[in-house]
Amino acid sequence: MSQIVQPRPEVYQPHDSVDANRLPIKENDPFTLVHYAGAWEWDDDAEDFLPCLSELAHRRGVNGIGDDGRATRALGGAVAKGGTLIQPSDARLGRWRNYIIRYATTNGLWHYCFVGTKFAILPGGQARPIDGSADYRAFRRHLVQAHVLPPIDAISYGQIIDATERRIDRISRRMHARPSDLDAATKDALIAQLKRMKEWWAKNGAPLVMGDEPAPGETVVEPEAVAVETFSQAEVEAVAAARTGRKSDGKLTLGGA
Amino acid sequence: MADEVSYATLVSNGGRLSKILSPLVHATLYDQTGLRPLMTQYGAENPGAATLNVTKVTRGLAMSAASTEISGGFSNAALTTGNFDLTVARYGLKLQTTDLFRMTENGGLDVPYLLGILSESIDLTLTDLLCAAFANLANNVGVSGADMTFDDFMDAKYFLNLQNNGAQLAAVLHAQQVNDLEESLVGLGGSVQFRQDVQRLFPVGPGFKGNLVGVDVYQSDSCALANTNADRRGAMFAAGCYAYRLGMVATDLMVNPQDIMVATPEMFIERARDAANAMSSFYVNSYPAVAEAEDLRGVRITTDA
Repeated sequence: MSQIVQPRPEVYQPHDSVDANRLPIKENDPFTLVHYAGAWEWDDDAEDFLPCLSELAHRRGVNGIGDDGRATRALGGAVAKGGTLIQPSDARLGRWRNYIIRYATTNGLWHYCFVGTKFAILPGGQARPIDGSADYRAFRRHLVQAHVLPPIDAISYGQIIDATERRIDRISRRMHARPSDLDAATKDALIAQLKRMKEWWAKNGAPLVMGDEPAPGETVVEPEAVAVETFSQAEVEAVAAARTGRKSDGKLTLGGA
Repeated sequence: MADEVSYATLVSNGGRLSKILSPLVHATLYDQTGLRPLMTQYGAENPGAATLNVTKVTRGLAMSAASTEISGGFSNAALTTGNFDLTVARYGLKLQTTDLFRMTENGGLDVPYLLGILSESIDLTLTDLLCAAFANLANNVGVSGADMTFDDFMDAKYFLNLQNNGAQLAAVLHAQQVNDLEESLVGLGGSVQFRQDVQRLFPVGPGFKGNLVGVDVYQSDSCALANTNADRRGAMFAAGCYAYRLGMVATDLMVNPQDIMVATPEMFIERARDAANAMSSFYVNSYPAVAEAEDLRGVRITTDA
């Protein structure tokens, strides 16, 4: 016998202008962290010398990366310049192992960033990066403590000291012609910093700093963990060897880049 | 009084429109900075491979003194060479229009306007690739978390001078770095304060800002965030630091000439028709490559975001 059927309607939810699962920011590329020997800076908060890391982007068309997206040629170039590659899969990285995460973007692509990087979406749909520098500084310090990177060498230390002394001199000359409370305060701070750097050079050591938490009321978008293809160290070293400068007699020179 | 022939009445009943479309289009803010002139172009033809390998030669060999007036020949001087690669990758952009869109064109937002958007994309792409390469420079000035100052600017210039770089220096900075630098210039005293280039400060907006103590300053929003969003990464570099190459696409076009909307040796815009859905697509394809030619010609400038 036929029946009268009453279909059940679905509840219609108007689409919010903000998709909490996607970020309204520009897409970018995965990267490998590289440290070059002379790249160091003084962290006044922690009173320690921290390595400055470069992010070698796996961007097609840049530094030898082709359509296949393989970064071997670019990484080999970095090693040829004296860079130390920081493998995401290195067990010595501790809680920062596999340090690349990614967020989905509103244009259907991905935004890659360092693990622990957070964004908040404001009510108007604008993405705001949350400063994760404290955790990143702790990671940089860990790289030295875990022997992933050697500690700062005497030459790099000397260059930082020279640059600081030069800056103090520059401020002093400015103040001679135009006295300024701001310049006086800056100069005093730099002189104190210089003293701390020299004291550090004698004893070595620094505390760990934990990462920042989001402010109350902010919506934090959770990232997606991603396994990034790791490169073959042997392949990278083969490319680096081929690109290192060679004399006409076939002998290697240092710093061929 | 009644039965006025009014605008409001005619909008309701016919005879007037409540609004019409302006033929002029307002472009919202965007950074159209093109930094191609700051790079050296290599390869005006397709070399038979996606990768163009460029040889680097270390010159500057001075003579050695002979030990005596009648001494024999000299030892061979070593000639050091190196190389870098320029590997092209395909980049493209697509805009798709419907027939109804084109039928209702009024001279404002029309197909030629869209073709202009596609045409300017190649310079914007090269700017993005150049700024992406800054991160790989080995040397850095500036302090993470601290605003950019004139001192950071001079540290970069001094570093490049120490490496025997030439006079053509350029600094590419993010807007935040430019603002901080300008703030620092305002507070300068001493002999630097009275320089004309310091007094003039910078015009507002992206692109070329002016020359400051011999360095051409550019502003670009392609300067990326660094150090987990704490900082911005710009760079100062001399001519020859970066190289680029564009694949010569025009030599290999196998496209109906009537479907080619814009053609240059380095990129072309072609049309594809989707008759079933009454749509036309416009594609721009190009094959750019950017590489760091010599690391010591450049230095990163990383300062607070």
